[in-house]
Amino acid sequence: MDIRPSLQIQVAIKAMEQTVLPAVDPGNTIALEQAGLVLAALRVLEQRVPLWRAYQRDELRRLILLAGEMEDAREEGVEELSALAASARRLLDSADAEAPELEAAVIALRGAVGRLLASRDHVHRTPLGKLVLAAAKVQLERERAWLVPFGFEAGSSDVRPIEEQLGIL
Amino acid sequence: MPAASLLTPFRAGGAGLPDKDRPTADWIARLRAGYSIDPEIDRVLTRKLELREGPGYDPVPLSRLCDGMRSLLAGRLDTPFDLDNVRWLSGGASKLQMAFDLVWDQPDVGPSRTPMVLRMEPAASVVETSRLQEFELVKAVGAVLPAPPCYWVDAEAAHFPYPAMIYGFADGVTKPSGKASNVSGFGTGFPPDLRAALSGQFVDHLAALHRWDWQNAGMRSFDIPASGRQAVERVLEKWARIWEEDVNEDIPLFRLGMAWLRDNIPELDRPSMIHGDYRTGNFLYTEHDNRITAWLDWELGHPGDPHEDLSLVTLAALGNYAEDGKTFLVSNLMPQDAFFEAYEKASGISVNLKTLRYYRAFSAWRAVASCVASGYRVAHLGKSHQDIVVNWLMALGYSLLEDLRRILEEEI
Repeated sequence: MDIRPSLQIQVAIKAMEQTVLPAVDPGNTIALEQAGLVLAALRVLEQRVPLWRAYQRDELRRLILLAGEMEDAREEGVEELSALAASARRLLDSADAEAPELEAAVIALRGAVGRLLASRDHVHRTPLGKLVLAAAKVQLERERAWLVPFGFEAGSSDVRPIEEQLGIL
Repeated sequence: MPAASLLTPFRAGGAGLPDKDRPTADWIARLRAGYSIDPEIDRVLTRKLELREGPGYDPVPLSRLCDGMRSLLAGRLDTPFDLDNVRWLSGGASKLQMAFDLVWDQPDVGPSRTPMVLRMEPAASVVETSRLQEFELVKAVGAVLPAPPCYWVDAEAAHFPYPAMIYGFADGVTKPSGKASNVSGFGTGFPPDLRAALSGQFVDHLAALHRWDWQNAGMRSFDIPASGRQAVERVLEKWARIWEEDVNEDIPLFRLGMAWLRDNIPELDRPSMIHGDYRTGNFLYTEHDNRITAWLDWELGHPGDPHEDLSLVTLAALGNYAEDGKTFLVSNLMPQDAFFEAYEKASGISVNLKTLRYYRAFSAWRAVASCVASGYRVAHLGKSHQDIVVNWLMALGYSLLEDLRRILEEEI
């Protein structure tokens, strides 16, 4: 079936550029701004949708790794996180796992890490805090690279392209 | 499709977690009890949660807002009036704004045609704030720096679909005419001569705000903190509560930052009034004389440490490079050292670099709460008049997270 997301996005971009935006009343600044953002969002989707599943799998792998590091460090209260990490491993191993399922697993694991941090006094002074800080460095490199097309990274020469980070080139 | 057993552990709302799209009275009560904040802000945040399950934002036609204006003015004015030149204003990412001319018999002035702006919340905002506090603050602060004149407030939405305030329309632009910027004024570049003209005013106004005796300015909706420390604690707790209320995908680094900020509050003798969003994009200036005519967006104003405003001014994500490609300009205006020197001279307040570093972390941290957590919840529930703008601004949150991470990496 040839009506694929890539084609739909492509034709939607063209329609916005050539037909819709030129017709927006220039006096309606809100409509103009939002129409411009619709076009920009479509362009981002055009670039990023093909990478989304790989992105989620990459993040899930790193969250599983973080859970393992916490277990190795014999952190207290990691049972919930460990159980979720075990489930996440099975999901990653399943050839059928789709992006929404991977997303749900990422959100659940992040939530478990967050609850663990919230349960500790002065957590920033603990080994747990240091593990989270180290993991955040890699996570943010991914996120910032993903979001470069949004235009908020002022001269972001320190961010490697997301394709390179995900090993897709 | 994976077997259900693979998905079960990850279902939203599992294991007794709150369904944040449908807040229960019990969850709301626990949040209120768990965070000690300004009472008016508690009222606003609680109202947000109580209305969350209600409808998303439905476009409000200008005619409805005009009806609201007529209803409000019928109770406030004894003489005939008319609304003319009614139109939408774009610009901010959190509030609806309608501009109009009020043709009226202005008290103590006589027959007038006064340009005004009606500023109204949508069903929910990325920045949930008090119209009453904003109204009182803008009204009072005009004594010390350029601010729009304030006329009326409808804090309980008696006349409008949502709480609203009406203030005078100030002349000017936020960026040079014909120049593009990113949404909400981010990424605005000024040419060198304009920077020279605006920088001094930028500093002087900020200094005047921080020196201001706000506690005796008659702003009854602001609870005066018992100490400088309590002022800061209340601000931290407010944003911590907002995070809990709004976040979808948790960010462990945010929580790490929360712990560090709570543990390292700098000394503060006297809380100043803080603008909370003092930056390029939030002032108007007239192009014929490059004079700042009004500071806008006072909704985040609160008692606190002046370093909070200083830190936002100097956030990397809110500046740009000069034409030489090497000199970084804070708030797109001036090098940081020059800014601090001028501020100290104008305000008599010393810039403490350690405190500044704390508030750099804080400013990035609280902006993440707004952009990412509240931004997600508002856009997801369709609660604003510009969900697509709100969604776009979520991306800024990740640049700010990197700012926070770099500070924590050195401090922890």
